[in-house]
Order: sequence, then structure tokens, then C-alpha cells
Amino acid sequence: MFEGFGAALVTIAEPHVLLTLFFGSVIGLIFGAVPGLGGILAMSMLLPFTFTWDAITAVYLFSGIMGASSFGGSISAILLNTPGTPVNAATCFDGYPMAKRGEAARALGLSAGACLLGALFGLVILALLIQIMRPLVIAFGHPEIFWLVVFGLVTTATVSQGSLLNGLIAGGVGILLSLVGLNEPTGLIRYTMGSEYLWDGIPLIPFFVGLFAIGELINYSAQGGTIARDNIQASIRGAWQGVMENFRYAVCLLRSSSIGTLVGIIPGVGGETANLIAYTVAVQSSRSPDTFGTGNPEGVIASEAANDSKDGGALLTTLSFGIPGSLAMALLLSIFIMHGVSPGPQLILDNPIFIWTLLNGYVVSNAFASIFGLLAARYLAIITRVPVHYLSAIIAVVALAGTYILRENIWDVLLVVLLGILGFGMRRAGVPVLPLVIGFVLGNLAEKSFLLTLRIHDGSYLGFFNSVISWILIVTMVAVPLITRMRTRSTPKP
Amino acid sequence: MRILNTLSKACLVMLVAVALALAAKPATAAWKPSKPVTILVGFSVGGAMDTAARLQGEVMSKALGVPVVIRNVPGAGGRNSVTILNRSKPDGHTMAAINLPGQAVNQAARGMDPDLRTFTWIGRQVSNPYFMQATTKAGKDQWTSLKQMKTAKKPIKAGITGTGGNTFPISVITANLVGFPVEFIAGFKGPELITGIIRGDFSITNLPLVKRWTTAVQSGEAKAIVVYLPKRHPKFPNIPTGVEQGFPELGSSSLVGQNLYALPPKTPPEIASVIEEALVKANNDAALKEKIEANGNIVAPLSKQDTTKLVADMLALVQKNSALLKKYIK
Repeated sequence: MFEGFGAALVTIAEPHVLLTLFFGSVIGLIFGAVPGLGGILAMSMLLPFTFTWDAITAVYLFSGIMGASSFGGSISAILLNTPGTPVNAATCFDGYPMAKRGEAARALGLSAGACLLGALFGLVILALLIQIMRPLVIAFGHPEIFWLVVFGLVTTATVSQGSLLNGLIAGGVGILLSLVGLNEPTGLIRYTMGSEYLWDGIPLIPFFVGLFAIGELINYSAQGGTIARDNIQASIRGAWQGVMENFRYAVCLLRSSSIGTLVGIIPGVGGETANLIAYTVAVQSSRSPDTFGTGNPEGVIASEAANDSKDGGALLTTLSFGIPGSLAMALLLSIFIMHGVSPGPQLILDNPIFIWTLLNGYVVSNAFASIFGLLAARYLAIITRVPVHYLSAIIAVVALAGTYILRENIWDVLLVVLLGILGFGMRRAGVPVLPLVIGFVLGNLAEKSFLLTLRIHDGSYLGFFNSVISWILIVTMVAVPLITRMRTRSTPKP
Repeated sequence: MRILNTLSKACLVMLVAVALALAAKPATAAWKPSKPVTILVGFSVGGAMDTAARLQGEVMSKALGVPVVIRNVPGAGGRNSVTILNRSKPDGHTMAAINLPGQAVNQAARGMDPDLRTFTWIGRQVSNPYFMQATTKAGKDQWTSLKQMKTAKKPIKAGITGTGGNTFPISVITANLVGFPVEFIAGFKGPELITGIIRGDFSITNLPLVKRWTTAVQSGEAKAIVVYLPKRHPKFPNIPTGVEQGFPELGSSSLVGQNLYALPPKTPPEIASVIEEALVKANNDAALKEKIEANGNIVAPLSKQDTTKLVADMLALVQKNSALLKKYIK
């Protein structure tokens, strides 16, 4: 396994490779930060140019984009309450309130540190376990996915800031929205009003761009002023403080990285699920769950560590089975195949250099992105002092154009506007957005896993309780909030 | 005088000749695209259809003299490319890669527009043969051949992605032709069909015969039962055909997954010929063929006429089985 490490390390020292990696990281940062675009679009745009490259350089380019786009997405999530990509949605919930408090640089530092450390965690797990990973991937079937997702869904009540009823309604609406479209297990087409546009459900990117970017934009326009209400701490020291805080919240960092890696390993579960489940578990495990959504650093760490560690998990499935764990991995596989490299169990033995190339590239691009975040945080934080009227115009153009470019579908733009109005209305009515997002992202997956478990087990509900992993998840789901509550009660209040 | 007459006659003949030549010029001049040509791909980036379109697009771009842009419109099992193509102008600037027999189901079994026969078919992108694999998980029903499956007393559980795409019609038609009872479990994503067959969530599944989908067979966690080709695939010589097992209908080209290129309905023939010519150049590029076939797909060029006939044959086969297909479509 470690045979190709030296050879891969030598290649990274070559100037053209380093330049390619740097170029990939810059592209990843930009495409990640612009709402609607994302790393996948960047990779697919650059794919044809790499057909004539040598495989190693092409892999470095793609690992550069993959590694940096997640941090790029957190920049807009923290500064503008607009996730650059769906996988950064949970970062908004605490990153943006920190920016409003004038702590944008600290939040960016938190994100930069969590991204790098999360990625390293995922890759260390990958390097250690790749040859013995198949049993775990196989052990995670639909009953286990169901319980994992239910774990996230039950948090809806915990994260309902203010009114519990409002939170539950928002969560319910989110679940209903997730059910729109063709339900594959039953073959039914639901709530599409006869429109083929909705066959595949409400698309994720217009959902997030509308709810967050446009909703916030209308809010800006109504309120005026600047995003940061307090004086901003735009210094490199503030950003560095954020990076170091990751070690202060080491338990949260490790737990979220583990969740991210685990979700990444499971084929068919999207990256947008990893950050939400890690976030909800962080809320469940916290002694002060009320502080989440108001600028709790653990919220940013949980989301971003899970985001970047999930790629290690997805790589594990991709490399050990030769089947893509995510869309980004599908692209990577096509590069491998195009250059005559067959992914699968034999890859580790036949071409270890490819694995190390990928891992090195991923680590270095994460480091590039994090260093950029650290150095640029103080300048980026100034955005929060720009009058929102100027920002609104820029966000509107970028968000709507980004959404349209992705699929060139005008209905996506209309959907963004409608969801923007919904997002604004919810903010005005004091209805929390987080339960809606949790319901929307996890609802459909919960239903699908539920139905498939029943079909696989001939309609028997015992299928949900057949495995050790299912029981571990059930016990954890019940125990975590109970233990946290007991600990909170036993801690003397200051 | 005679000389003058002869000269005037000669002038007249020349004038007529020039006029005829001028009149004929627009008809003989080859059509050229005036802006980039878009290829609609109904699936996400990185898949077999997308990769082949991007590779062929590079060569076609040189032949056409304008950029060829790939536009991914994933969703509804590839149907988005069909609906967008149907709405596009027949000016040669929009074409689509369409997956069959998957798209034939929407027309023949769901009764949806458009009629695929109205498209201007120009050739084949790739031929995408499918194969069936069965679980070898201990304690689960295990199948080793089609003849054995025919003796099944209770429905054999088959994992599929959904009722869109190619897997569904191929699975239904195979069960019907071989004559075994089947129960479909839909809703798995492609990779989940691999982990599912290894885990024994279902007994059989049909997937495209490309390297990545044979991983369970390679590791011995699944057994390849049949490849839907008239002859064994050279890259996968250990997988038997249906013909060998006594089911010649399973070797029909209508059961092979086909990614075909089409232009919008009513595209003028001279435009279709130019696009077809560019596609032929791409298909004749040896290096490109090698890259596409590295994935397991087969580059097998097909003329406009043969492509049109293949579409009609596939529609007829799906139509014949539409009553069965409708059982699973709500």
C-alpha cells in the first residue's frame, strides 16, 4: 500500500504538477464560493482538456478542485448566509451569525482549520482501512441508512429555536417538499402537478440558493445597513484564533469527521447529508443546544469537518469497489479509466501510485485553500461591512446566473425566486429554516430506505432490527440526548 | 451573318450554362453550422454517455469547424434530452444522445410524447451491452443459469434503479422471454446495485457490461449469468450469451443498450448528412475508439438508415411487451 507513496511525492515536486494543483485549487475555491456553480461543474468543464494529459497531472487537477471547493463554499455561507454548494448548508446556521457579530474572520479560520483537519482525518482512515473496508461498506445497508437518517430527523425538535411548534411545522413542510417527484420504490409520481420538471423532485441547488441567498437578499433589502452589526475583527489573529479553536473543540471535530467519513463510505447517500447529520449530532451532544444557530463555533466545525472528511470515505468506496461513491468520484473514475487504469481492489496492488497521487493532491489542495482562507480572511471579512444594497445586487446576479448556467433551465430560476420568497417569509414570521432544510434533505432518503428495507425483507419490520449496526444507531439515538441532558442538569450553573 | 448567329447561339448556351451553374451552387454547397453545436446528454457528467459524447465532440468540432458543446440535462432516466431535443429548432445546432430501449418505454408503455420515430436519427454513439448477475451470498436464493431460473417456483427478486433508464425494460423483457417469475425492487442507485447484490438484498440485477459494474463478479461475490449479445464480449469472454443457453431472442440487438444520436424532427437531409459525416470521422478515429472502449462500451458505427430501423425495431419490441411493463408503471 505504501509502495507508491515515494513515487507520488516525487511527482508533486515537479513545477508543472504543483502549478496544476494550485490552478485546480484556485478554480475549486472560485467555483465553490459562487452559489450554484460548485466543484462538479468546474470538473466537468475541464474534463475534455485533460483527455490528452498524462494521468497523474489530470488526477492532480481534479483533486485540487475537489479539495478546495468545499472551503470555497463555506466562504459565501459564512459571509453572505448563502451556501456556495449544498454541502455547505449547515455552515450558514452558525457561521453567518458569527459574521453578523463581526467575527467573520474567526468563522473563516474555524472553517479553514476544520476543512483541512477533516480532510486529513478522512484520508488517514482511508489509508489505514482501504484493504479491509469492504465488509463495513457491505454492512451498511438500507436499514442502517434509515436509522442514521432518523437520527438526523429527530433533531428537528432540538433545533427549533423559539417555538417548538414552528420548528415541527417547518420540518414537516421540508419532508413534504422532499417527497415531490417520482418515487422509485413505488413507481408513483407525486405532487408534480403534471410537470415533467418536477419528476426528479425539487432540485437541490435551486432549493438552497432560493431559500438562503434570495431569501436573505430580500431581507437585506428590507433592513438596509450592513451584515455585521458590530465592529468587525478583521485581523489575521482573529482567523488564526479560529483555526486553533478546532483543537479546543477536538471532540466535536473528531466526531464530525467520523460521521463525514462514514456517510461518505455509504454509496447512494449524498454529501449534503454528511454536514447536516454531523451538525444535528453536534446539537444533540451539546450541553447548550440553544446556542446553536446563534453563532456557536462547534456548528461551523461540525459542518465543515464532515464535509471534507466525507471525500475520504467516498474515495474508499470508489477505490475499493471501483464504483463511484459520489458524482465527483464518477468523474474521477472516468479519468482513471480513460488512462487505462481500472479502479477496484486490484488498483491498490497494481497502481498504488495513483492512490497516493490522489491523496497527496487532495491534502495539498486543502492546505492551499486553508492557507488562502487564513491569509484572506481579514480582507474577505470586509464584505460584511459593505452596505447591503450593493451586496444584494451582486448576489442576485451571481446566484440567479449561477443557477441558470448549471442546467440552462429557466424553471430553476423561477423556483429560486419562489423559494426566496418562502425563505424571507419564514425569517419574518420567526419560523426557523434549519428544520425545513433537515426535513428536505433527509425526508426522501428516510422514506426510500424505509420502503426498500420492507421490500428486501418481504414486508417484515424485523428487517430494521436485524443488524448490530442498526442497534448501535438506535441506542445512540436514544442515549445521546439523554446523557447530554443528564450532564447538563448535573453541571452547576455559574 | 451565320458567324454572328453561331456566336449569339454560343453566347446563349454559355449564359444558360452560367445561369444553371449559379442556380445549382446553393444546392451543392455543403451546409455549415454558424454557431456552436450542442449535444444534449440526459445523464450526469462522468458517465459512459457523457464521456463518449465529450470524446466524440472533440473530433466532430474539428470536422464541423465550430465548437461542440456538451450540455448535461440529467434526470428522468435520460428523458430530459428527448423533450428538449423535440422543442429545438431543426437547424443542425442541437443534437442529442438518446438511450434506448429506456426511452422507448416512455412512448410505448407510458404513452408519452414525442414519437421517437419523428426524430432525424444520424448514427450510433456507442453500443452498451447489458449483463445479468446473481448473488452468491450464502443463505439467499442462488441462480447459476437461465434454465435454472426458469424452474423458479416463487418470484425472483430483481434489483433495479427505477422505471426510467434501460435496466427496467431489459429486465422485464428478459424475464418474459426466458419465462421466469420476477419481483422488482426499484429505487437503488447504480453503486447500490453492486453492494446490494453482494449483500443479497435481491437475487439478480442487470447492469451495463463495463468494468466498474463487474466488480462483484470479479471478486466472486456475484455470478454473471448472461450477456445480452449474439456473441460473447471479447473483453469479458467468461460471460455466456443467451443464445448459448437456448434463448436466441436474448441475442437480439433490440435488447442491447444503445446510445443513439438524433437531430430534432424535420431536420433537412443536407444538415443531417453533414452531422453524420462529422460523426463518422469521430468513429473512425482509432485513438478515440480505444479510449471509449476502455470503459467496456462498443463503438459500432451505424448509418442513418440503420439507426432509424433500429429505433423502430426497439419500439416494436417494447410495444410487444408493453402490457408487462405497464404492470410496474403507476
